[in-house]
Amino acid sequence: MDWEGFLKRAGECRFEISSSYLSAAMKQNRVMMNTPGLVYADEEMMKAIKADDSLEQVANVATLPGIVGKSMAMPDIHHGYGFAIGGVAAFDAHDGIISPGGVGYDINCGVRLLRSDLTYEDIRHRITKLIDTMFDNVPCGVGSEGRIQLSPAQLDEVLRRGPGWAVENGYGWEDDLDVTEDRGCIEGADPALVSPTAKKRGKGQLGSLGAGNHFLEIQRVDEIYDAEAARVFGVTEKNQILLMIHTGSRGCGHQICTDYLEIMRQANRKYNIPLLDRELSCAPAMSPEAQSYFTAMKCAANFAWANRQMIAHWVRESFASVLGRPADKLGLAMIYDVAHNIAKLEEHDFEGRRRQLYVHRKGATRAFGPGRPEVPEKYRSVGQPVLIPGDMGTASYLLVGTDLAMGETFGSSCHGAGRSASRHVSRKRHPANAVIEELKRKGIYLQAKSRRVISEEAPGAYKDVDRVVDVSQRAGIVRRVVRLVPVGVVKG
Amino acid sequence: MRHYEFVDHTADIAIKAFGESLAEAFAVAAEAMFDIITDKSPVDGHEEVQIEVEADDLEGLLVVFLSRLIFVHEVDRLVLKDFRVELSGHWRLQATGRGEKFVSSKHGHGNHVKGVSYHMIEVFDGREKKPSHVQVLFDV
Repeated sequence: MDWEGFLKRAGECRFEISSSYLSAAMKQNRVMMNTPGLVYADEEMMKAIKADDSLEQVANVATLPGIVGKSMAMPDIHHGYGFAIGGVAAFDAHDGIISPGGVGYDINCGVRLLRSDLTYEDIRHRITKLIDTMFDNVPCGVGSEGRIQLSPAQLDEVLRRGPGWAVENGYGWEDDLDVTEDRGCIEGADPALVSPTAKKRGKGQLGSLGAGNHFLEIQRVDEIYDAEAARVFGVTEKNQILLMIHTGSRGCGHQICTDYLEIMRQANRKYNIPLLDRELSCAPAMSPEAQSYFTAMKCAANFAWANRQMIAHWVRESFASVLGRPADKLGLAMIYDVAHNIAKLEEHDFEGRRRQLYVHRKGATRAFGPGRPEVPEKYRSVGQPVLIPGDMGTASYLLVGTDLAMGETFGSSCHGAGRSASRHVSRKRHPANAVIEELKRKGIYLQAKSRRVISEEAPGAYKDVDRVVDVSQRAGIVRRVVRLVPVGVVKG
Repeated sequence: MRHYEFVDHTADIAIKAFGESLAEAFAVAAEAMFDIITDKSPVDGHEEVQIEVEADDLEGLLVVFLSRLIFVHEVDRLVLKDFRVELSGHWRLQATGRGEKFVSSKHGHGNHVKGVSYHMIEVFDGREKKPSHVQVLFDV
């Protein structure tokens, strides 16, 4: 598919997929795009994007009932299942739909960033010890279980309240919650709508990293682009040490997605919504099926925030034990924690009207501009911190949301580098030893459970994160604040 | 006849599993999933696990079957091999697999399989034109 005649430039770093595009599957199912697609990319990226099925997926999402605005994709777009990874789509709260496929299996996969008073010089000879200690203290890898087993009542509390439960039980600081998206707790989460299967998968996994692209990193500030915003976030100098945690809701969220995909498949038939891809299964937003999913999804989201809360606590403990000073004396305060796989009920101004929308972000990060009440008070003048994890060899970013994003993407932006090579290809191209050596040459110490994951997560298997962020900034949907480079990495 | 191969997908892992019969292709897909999870290290079989699932169609049956195995792996902490699968009715599956408790030093760390997707799913019953195959995408 070359998209000739259906894809055109639509301003700086923007391409529009014409709503007149009609695929064979759309014809067969008698559906049309209700709205154009909008992809944030430059010419070079677009060549690569056209090579897989992701544009088709953006077009498919545009056919879903009640979509408001365009079916969007961020510059890190790549082929997902159902929705493209990097996809953003908003649906009217009354006439629209809710789709588990628009969130993904790893509900509230997201990123937490901590600052410190340390500089690279302070710890450069302790990085190996720090990473090894974090690797011991935070369970990771396939089959990893958390350090605690929750009772059924405790698990319900976590599903209902998220990190509030963790902080109350000694895992973290009260003000961590102030700088967590939604204070780590979406209201209305009801554990009764989470299956016993999902609860069984969840109860032993709270406080574990998992595997794949999830990581813990010690990073140093490589560049500060906006000193004022950086200062507000507690970042003041080059080579300052920051800590990044990237993980999600573990088996609990995966099972909730699995359970509700089956329920939604039936709902699809019941409500007569044509399906272009089974992973696009959905139900009318007000239907009991959609509302049950949304309520269970909130539980998974809260679980994920609690998960990153526990991990952050053990990372602080690791630093305190290796450096011999308590975490608060090291200034290990949180900057922010934000989801990049989630659906949220949000209020947005659209075409002159205040609308209630279910905004689906699948591999996309909420990026609210200055002034929004959802942005923590101390950040409200600069905008919401947007955390972009890169691959383990290049860079990660701290950005802020913009007013333009509020008007155009319902306050959404990219979420990472995005893969460019399949895991299979990456394994052949990047033997684990070569990856470890390459990182070592760059001054990055890696500790990982799986040699296979090392090969698959090789920096060469990812798109250029600098370019993804550059395109996002040129499009005006985020502003760069700080560039971070890893000095130590823990992988599952 | 009984084998599987990887199908190219950028973000996740897709496999195509072949068998003499459709039931065998289901069994091969299950074994492929544990290869993905364990880094292909040998699994010794002592503990037997029996699984029975139902679904509305064959694709659903494949997804529900493999999803149940993820649950068995994560909650009972088992790794399995040597699957025998029987398909019956519209649509029911009975399977047995043999294996043991997952020990990371023995079985290694492969990929964490989060879910079994319907995307790219194929179920082909090769009664008239062998082999049978199934194709499935794992979210990892």
